[in-house]
Amino acid sequence: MKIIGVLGGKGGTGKTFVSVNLALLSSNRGYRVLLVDADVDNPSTKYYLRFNIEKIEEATMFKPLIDKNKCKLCLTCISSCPEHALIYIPSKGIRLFEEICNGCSLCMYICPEKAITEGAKVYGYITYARTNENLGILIGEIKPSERFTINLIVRVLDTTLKMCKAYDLIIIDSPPGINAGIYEIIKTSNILLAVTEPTRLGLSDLKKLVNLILKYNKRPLVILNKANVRGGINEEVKDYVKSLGLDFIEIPYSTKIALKIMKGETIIGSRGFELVEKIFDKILDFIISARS
Amino acid sequence: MIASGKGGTGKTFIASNLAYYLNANVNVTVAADADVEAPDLILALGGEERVHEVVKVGGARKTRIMLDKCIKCFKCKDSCRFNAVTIVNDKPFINEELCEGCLLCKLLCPANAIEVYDKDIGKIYVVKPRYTSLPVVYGDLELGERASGKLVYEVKEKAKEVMVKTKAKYLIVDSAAGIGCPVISSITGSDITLIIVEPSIASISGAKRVLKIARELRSKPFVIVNKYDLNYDLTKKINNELDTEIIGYIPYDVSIVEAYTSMKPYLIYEGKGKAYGALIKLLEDLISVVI
Repeated sequence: MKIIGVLGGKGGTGKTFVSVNLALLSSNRGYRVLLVDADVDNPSTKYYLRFNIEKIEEATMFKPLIDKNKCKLCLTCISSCPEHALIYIPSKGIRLFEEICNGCSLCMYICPEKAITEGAKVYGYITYARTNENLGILIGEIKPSERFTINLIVRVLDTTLKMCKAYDLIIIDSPPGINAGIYEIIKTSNILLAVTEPTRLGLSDLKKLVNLILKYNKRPLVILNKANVRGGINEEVKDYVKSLGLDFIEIPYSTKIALKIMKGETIIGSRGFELVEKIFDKILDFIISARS
Repeated sequence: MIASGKGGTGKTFIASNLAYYLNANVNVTVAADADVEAPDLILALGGEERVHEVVKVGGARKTRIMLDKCIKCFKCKDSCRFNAVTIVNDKPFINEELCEGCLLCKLLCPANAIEVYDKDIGKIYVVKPRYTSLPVVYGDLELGERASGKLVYEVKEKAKEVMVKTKAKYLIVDSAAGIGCPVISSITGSDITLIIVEPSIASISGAKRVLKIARELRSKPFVIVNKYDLNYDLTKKINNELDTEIIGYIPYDVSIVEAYTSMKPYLIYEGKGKAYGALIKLLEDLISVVI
């Protein structure tokens, strides 16, 4: 079993494009594949695949429930709350600002009257699904205006590890960036793909991502997507990648591919994309032959 | 405030040009890059000429376990709500990246083995770009840090300080992709949110999520359709499905990538192509609606 993290510092470089098409191709080649969408702020694998939902699970976090009868208004919870999410209103008692509370549960333990008990609030959902072609799918999705992105990513990765025995390949589509959630995906994966594009912005963000990956003693395969797009800096990106001795694979820019993506369609399974399919086969070969 | 939901739709393109244009033609402006994980705004403005100020942002409270005192009861692991404690070789470790600094472990540890320390979450830069007097404030998150929302807040505070100093009238904030904590932090307190959408299924859906959040945070939303000519059917879908005012359409233009490559702001790039006219019209319309 191999876990492949598909990363990209910058948004819009093609992480989801690579994840979805790689998952379809590997599934076609006979591997048992689970596609995990860990871009919980904006999970977009679902726009490219038709699937049947098997189960939707709520992701919950701690929320204090305050028993007014037990509370003696000592206000210890208020003074010790690290997020300052609790306040005292004389006419109303102790109130919780739900959107500020991060669910650490310190208040429950610190209350001398045991007036605070475990409550739960839903901050996101985890969807289990499967395509007709037997591709497994796991999608994390944050509830709009909730800010616990990283908690949900951690939760999705936990769920993934529990399910991983039933699969040969697990492909994780990630959010852009270099935050702690990305770090967790790097830690969980045995193989990392860094998807970039040959623009100045793409290169600048690739460097940050690669630095984060190297910091944890892993080496990514760089996917140079939209290679040779007009006006871009293909050679500069390749020079950078080669200077670090990293492997890379290019997917050439084509308006045909761009239009497919816009319409929410995949390359694998479509006619006229045999050359692109060969590139995905090369990526798959790299993954299969990589020591993990 | 410029947002999108999906990445790569053109937030930085619009933010950089709007800030440049306002500053050159209307009134003193400050630009802030609130994408602290991929701060690209300065690149779109031609790179930095001078760094005025660098400020370290600390304040991320973290804990670590003093193993000589630890009695291996693992109460820290069992109680941590952020899965920040892992057991390696029968010893507990705190993952700095996941620690929220709530100090619950310290409260519960019977052996008093938890130590508290402070970690930097990133740096804030105030710089002058090469081709314009427009001050740019951007944040740079420590690799693998979790408090990006806090750093965005500090970037905005710094930008307001620069506004006072330079007597600026406008603040343009370029946000990260998504709708998470850093984006909520960016939209909070802004008067207007410009949502950049491209004619793709994924982008339209991302825009809907941002629209909902902008309304919840009482920031007036306007939509800009970028690369509208790449797929007219989906551009029509944007018209039909986003129930807010569309204030401009920008065509796909390879010279935008070329301008990035030559490190020049698009508005003064010699080889600018067909997006230029549409961009100027959009900027003028924005100014007349907003000001």
